[in-house]
Amino acid sequence: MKSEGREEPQRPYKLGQLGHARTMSAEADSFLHRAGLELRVVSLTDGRRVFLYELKRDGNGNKV
Amino acid sequence: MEIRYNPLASEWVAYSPHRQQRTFLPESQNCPFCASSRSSEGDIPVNEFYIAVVENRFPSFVLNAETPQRPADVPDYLNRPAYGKCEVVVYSGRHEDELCDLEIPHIADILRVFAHRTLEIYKHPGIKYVFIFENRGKQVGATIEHPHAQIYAYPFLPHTMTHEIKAFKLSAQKSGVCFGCKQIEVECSKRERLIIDANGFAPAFVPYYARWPIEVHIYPRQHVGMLYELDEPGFYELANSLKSLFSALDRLYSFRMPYVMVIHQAPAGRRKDYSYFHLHLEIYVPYRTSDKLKYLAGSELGAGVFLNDRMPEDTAKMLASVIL
Repeated sequence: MKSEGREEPQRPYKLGQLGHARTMSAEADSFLHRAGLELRVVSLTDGRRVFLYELKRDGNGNKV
Repeated sequence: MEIRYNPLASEWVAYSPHRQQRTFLPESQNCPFCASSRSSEGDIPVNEFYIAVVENRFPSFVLNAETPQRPADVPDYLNRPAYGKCEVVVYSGRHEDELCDLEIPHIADILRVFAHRTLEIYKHPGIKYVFIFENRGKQVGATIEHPHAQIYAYPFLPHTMTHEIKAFKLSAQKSGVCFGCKQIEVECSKRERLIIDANGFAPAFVPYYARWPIEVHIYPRQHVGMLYELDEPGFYELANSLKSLFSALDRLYSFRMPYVMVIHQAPAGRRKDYSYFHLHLEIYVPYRTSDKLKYLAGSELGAGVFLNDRMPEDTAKMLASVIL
């Protein structure tokens, strides 16, 4: 059995204290940036779309 | 395509007859999810890719759903367009790479893609719930071998989530404590059903109330309702636990273990507060021994009562013994 949990104190929970952000459009864009991923969209001949997620890299090819 | 409401069960049923024609266990050379250089039937027209998301060729829910004919005469019979979205998340361009074969950063990126797709899909008005799951193995209904997850965006809150959300809310109102946070605390201290709790891992345990012969729940330590709210360590901890657990399941009976993995996130209601909900993953394995499958039968299907042949504490011991 794995043991010894992460040592950060667990956050106490209080009802209503932790609201979820609900502004999806802004969240989606900022999340992708934070995640270090790039998105490219390709359309198929039948109209469906493919979302290609690639690692964002710097000029030397390292993950940003 | 349409959805019909079952008033006796308080749930919606989706009808999509065209899915009878869907691709069924194709040979690897005809795999639709391999990069197009490897397959003539490819859904992904690039020579290589990291993680790809494809709109499902045979969806049960679509954004341009047609309005079905209203049922006549019986006022209790309700139907609606099968409005929504179905996507497939292909973990990598390599046909052989199961989730547990991938590197931890890659698995963390798959979780980030899940998070991003969830946010993107909720941009469409009328989507009430985004549900992410993986069926691995034909024993649990997978029809394409290439490792992938699926995203279903429903125009309603599914039955299971309605109950779960209500239970989280009631628990928080009664005790002032999140049920997920409480479970983490109890399971990590009692350790009877604990499987994974190492530094750098999200806690994984067999729930006290497991329905399946092998059932594992994974909770992030952070109290968040949705994937995108996880911090950087949170994504890595979940990825670590998934790799560790799925590798262990493959070791248990010395074969690639079929499973269903589901992700329970809070809904994204703008007007409602779901802060009492704790994001978690649930994994169900249908094998009760190395050569016997658990089938859902009379009690489970007809009465909703699961019969489990093994105590959760014994399942946890068995799984903990194959965790490296």
